[in-house]
Amino acid sequence: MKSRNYRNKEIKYSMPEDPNYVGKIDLEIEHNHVHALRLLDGTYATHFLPYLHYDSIEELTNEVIDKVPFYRS
Amino acid sequence: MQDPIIRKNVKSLSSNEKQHFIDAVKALKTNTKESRIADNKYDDYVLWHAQTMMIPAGSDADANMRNLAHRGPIFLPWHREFLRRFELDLQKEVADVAMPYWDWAADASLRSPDDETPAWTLSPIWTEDFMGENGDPNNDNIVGNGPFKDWITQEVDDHGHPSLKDHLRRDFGNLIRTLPTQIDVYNAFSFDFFDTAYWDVFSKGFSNAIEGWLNGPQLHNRVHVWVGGSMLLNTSPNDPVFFVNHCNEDRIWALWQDLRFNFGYPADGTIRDRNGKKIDHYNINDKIYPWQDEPESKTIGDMLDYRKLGIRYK
Repeated sequence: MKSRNYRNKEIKYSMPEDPNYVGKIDLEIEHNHVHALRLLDGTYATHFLPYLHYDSIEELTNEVIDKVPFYRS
Repeated sequence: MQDPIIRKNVKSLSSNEKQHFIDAVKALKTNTKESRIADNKYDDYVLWHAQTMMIPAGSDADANMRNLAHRGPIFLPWHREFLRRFELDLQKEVADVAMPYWDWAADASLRSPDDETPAWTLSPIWTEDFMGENGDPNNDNIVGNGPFKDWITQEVDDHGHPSLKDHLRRDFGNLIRTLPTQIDVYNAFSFDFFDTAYWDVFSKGFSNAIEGWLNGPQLHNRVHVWVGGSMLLNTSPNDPVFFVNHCNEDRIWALWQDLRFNFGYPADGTIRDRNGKKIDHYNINDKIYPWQDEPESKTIGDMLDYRKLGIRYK
């Protein structure tokens, strides 16, 4: 799994290398699973922030940490 | 037959009508005896929304995140039922109260009188006697005035279970600068069909235009993103402005139905995913989740004629 930190929170994720991959992404923030998908148009989405799509998994993860109370706390 | 419910523009509500709506909303929040799945009746709606959003719809849902309330043709009928139930619950608290709607396209045309005053201060929504104002940027965007000052939100974990409590937050225009305009609404009306295969965020049609995925975020989605804070989340009904926003989208759908003589949904009422499989809870005679086992449960077909539901828009 790839690993990085944002706002002192540990993020781990893995997804297939295939640039056309569509489907579930294995994503954790501080060992808590986060729902995330790569969609048909190549954008990323999570049901925690359901009104936007994101251009990268990094952007999505940072927004989850910044905006979603369960992961902010 | 019962008199129809008249849903009015917020800007035309009297002071008493505004107060009755606020009183009813707050009464649901303190009603802990009749709640179904949450600590109180208001938060039932927060959890129903978040949990329904987490249930994939169709065998191709991992490619489009279609769920049992959003991102497909179910969006407008599901929220019509959600609003109808909420309005009935409000009326149990304060008789004769009706859902008002927020015509956000009118607010998009408001202009600041000077460099110091944001245009939203001219809106009939963001007032001390209705929804209160923006969140405080010096206090983590927590709403600190109006009737929903100190409003406690119900948040969820990754399974949709109630997790922590939080504060109501707003962050107007931070992620996206402008509300949808009347031209955006007219553009949605240019569609004379409701939705098309494969019935997801990538399909063309009126439904998807209103939900806001075509060149998004537009219309409904754009309002959520513009308000920001609590409205960005799957628990967005935590902000009572959620309901006046959705009431406006329901009004726009009702207008489209009248103009197009079209209730929406395909002629045979069947919705199939990319793999040719019928999508459960999406077909015209399917009961609407999560109330499908209740004696008074409704089908999607029941939601298509707003007049039969006793709803009128003024």
